Amino acid sequence: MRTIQIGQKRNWRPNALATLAVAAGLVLAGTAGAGQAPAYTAPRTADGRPDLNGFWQAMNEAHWDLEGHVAAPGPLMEAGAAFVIPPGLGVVEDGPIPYQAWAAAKKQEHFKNWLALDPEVKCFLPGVPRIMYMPYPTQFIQSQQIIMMVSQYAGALRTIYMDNHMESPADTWMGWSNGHWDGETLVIETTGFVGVDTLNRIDTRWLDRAGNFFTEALRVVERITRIGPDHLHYEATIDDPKVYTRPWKISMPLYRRLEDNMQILELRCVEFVEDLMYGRSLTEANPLNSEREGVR
Amino acid sequence: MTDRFFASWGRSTRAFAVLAGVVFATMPALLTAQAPAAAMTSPAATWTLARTPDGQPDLQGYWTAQSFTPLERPRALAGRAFLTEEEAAEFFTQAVEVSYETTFGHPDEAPLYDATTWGLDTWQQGVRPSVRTSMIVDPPDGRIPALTPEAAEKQAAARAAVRRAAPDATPPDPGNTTSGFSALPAGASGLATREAYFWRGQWHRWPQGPEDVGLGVRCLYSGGGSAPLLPSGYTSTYQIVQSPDYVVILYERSIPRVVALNGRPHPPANIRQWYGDSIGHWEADTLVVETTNRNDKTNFRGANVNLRVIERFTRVAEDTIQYEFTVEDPTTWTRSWSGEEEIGKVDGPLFEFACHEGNRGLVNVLSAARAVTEKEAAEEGAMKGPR
Repeated sequence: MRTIQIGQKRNWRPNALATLAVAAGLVLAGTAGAGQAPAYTAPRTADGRPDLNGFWQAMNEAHWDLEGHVAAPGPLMEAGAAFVIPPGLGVVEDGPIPYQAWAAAKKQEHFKNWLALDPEVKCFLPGVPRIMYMPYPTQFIQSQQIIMMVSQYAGALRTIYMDNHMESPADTWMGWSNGHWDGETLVIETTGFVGVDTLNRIDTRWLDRAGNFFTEALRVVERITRIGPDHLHYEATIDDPKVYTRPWKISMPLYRRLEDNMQILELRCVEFVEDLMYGRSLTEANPLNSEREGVR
Repeated sequence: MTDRFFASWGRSTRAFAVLAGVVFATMPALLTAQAPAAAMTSPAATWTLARTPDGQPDLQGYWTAQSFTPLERPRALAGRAFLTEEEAAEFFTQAVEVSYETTFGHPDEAPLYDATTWGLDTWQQGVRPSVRTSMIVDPPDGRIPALTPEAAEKQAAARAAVRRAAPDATPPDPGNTTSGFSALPAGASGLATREAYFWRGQWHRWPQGPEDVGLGVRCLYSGGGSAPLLPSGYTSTYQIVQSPDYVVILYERSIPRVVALNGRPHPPANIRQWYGDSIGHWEADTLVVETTNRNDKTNFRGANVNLRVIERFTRVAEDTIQYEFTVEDPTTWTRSWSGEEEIGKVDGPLFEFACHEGNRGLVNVLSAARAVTEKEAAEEGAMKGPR
């Protein structure tokens, strides 16, 4: 079996090579070295597609910051070492994230005002790709026509339409996803995001807790390939002409949750943010109401 | 989005109450309708059950549990489980008219929100005629069995608490309460006190925090997301998606219900959830789902933690799922009860509801209620003079 080595991921072409391998009838098992394709063909569903069913979860620090970062203290002094921000090398393949000048400044502003501005703090739906590397499991339920991805976080749901593709009929927090199979790889294109929500003082959507962000112009193309019994290779090309100077890419493995009794339990965070958002003093607890108070 | 739910609440019940008066009063009293062998939508003779690639009966697609049939049999129809087809057709026609006439987006009550524009009115949701006089088929009287003494006591205490909220208020003319919005006309006196307001036939405390308003308004819970599936005024559309080991039953206003078919047991009794936990299996071509493990914050007609619901889904036609459910909770009812309904195929897709993200309603409700309380307190203080 091949081993995963740091630095190797940028050379992965799992889909293209796997297709080639199948087409040529080659067996690469045991021969793949660094930089070569994983010699793995996924088990098939009854309709002959790679079987991606299961509970998957990222195991990295991307939800803190997609880019490399050192450890830092958490936001709550009383929590001490229990809620520190862990270090990570980052998951951006061709970084740094190519922000336009205004956007780079805005990202810094986000970073400094994380708790006040991050939609995750208010239990809002995170969008794509953020939902895929949040620290919670996501269950893939794969049918022929639709693949559903059910996250533990806030019950966030992605519906991937494998046929009847259409333009997003309405803007949504999780976007509208059309998918197709490219050999071993599930390819998903997602657009149609809510970008601005004035009532909630949201003027951009966030990609992580470091304030990396996108707008309603976001177009994400994800490629998901099974590279072993218990691993997926996940990559996403992130394109938003309002924010970046070019499309850029993140990649990471997703790991299968192997517990026999695994299930997506409820994490209904709405209940946990009510005091924060609607506390008895609406004005103090929720700055969005200060203007209303003035009008009244 | 919450506003829509708030506005539509209870409308089906009201429509049926109106109809029960209109239609049933005109029916010959001694009609002896026999139980029809099949429902009004007969499956085509040539139809064969489609299967998923792995061989399960294919239940996938978009379905509606919307119905004009009440859960419990109206007293006026005691002893009759079924209408004749003619009565059912007449009832259905009139129900559609009542549904249209009482739409919650009627211009006089919500000029900026006409439900019919969005296809959200009951008559627009693929609702079908039915010959049943109630969804409940057992007990045979078509009504929910008696509460246990323990549950009855709990319910009485809850009602007393609501009454205490408005001790001096005079109940308004019921004629004023046929619509949610007109129950609180501008400047009306006697409908609101410092502590409470009258709305849709009941006194409600002015909410001081999210905990004082309904779970639906807080985007915490929507009954359609759990078992059993019952018609709701707002939307009763469901999407079903199947993989070999799981069935997703998605209700737009809720999180997806993922039914495990892989043989796992329910989680331990200390794991309790808003929507409970659903596991299932196939019995021949019928999907059987058992739901338990609800938390103590929900309320299904007085039941929650001890509630156990068994559902049976059988596709009986290209456009129809026969849906049967049994509800058990020995701490709430003196016996179990069962119902059934035909669930009809409708067009998709479902859209993301994002209830919490769009919860303008809760912010407005709370700011308004707090403003009323502050104003009343200030006026009271002014009348009494400086303390």
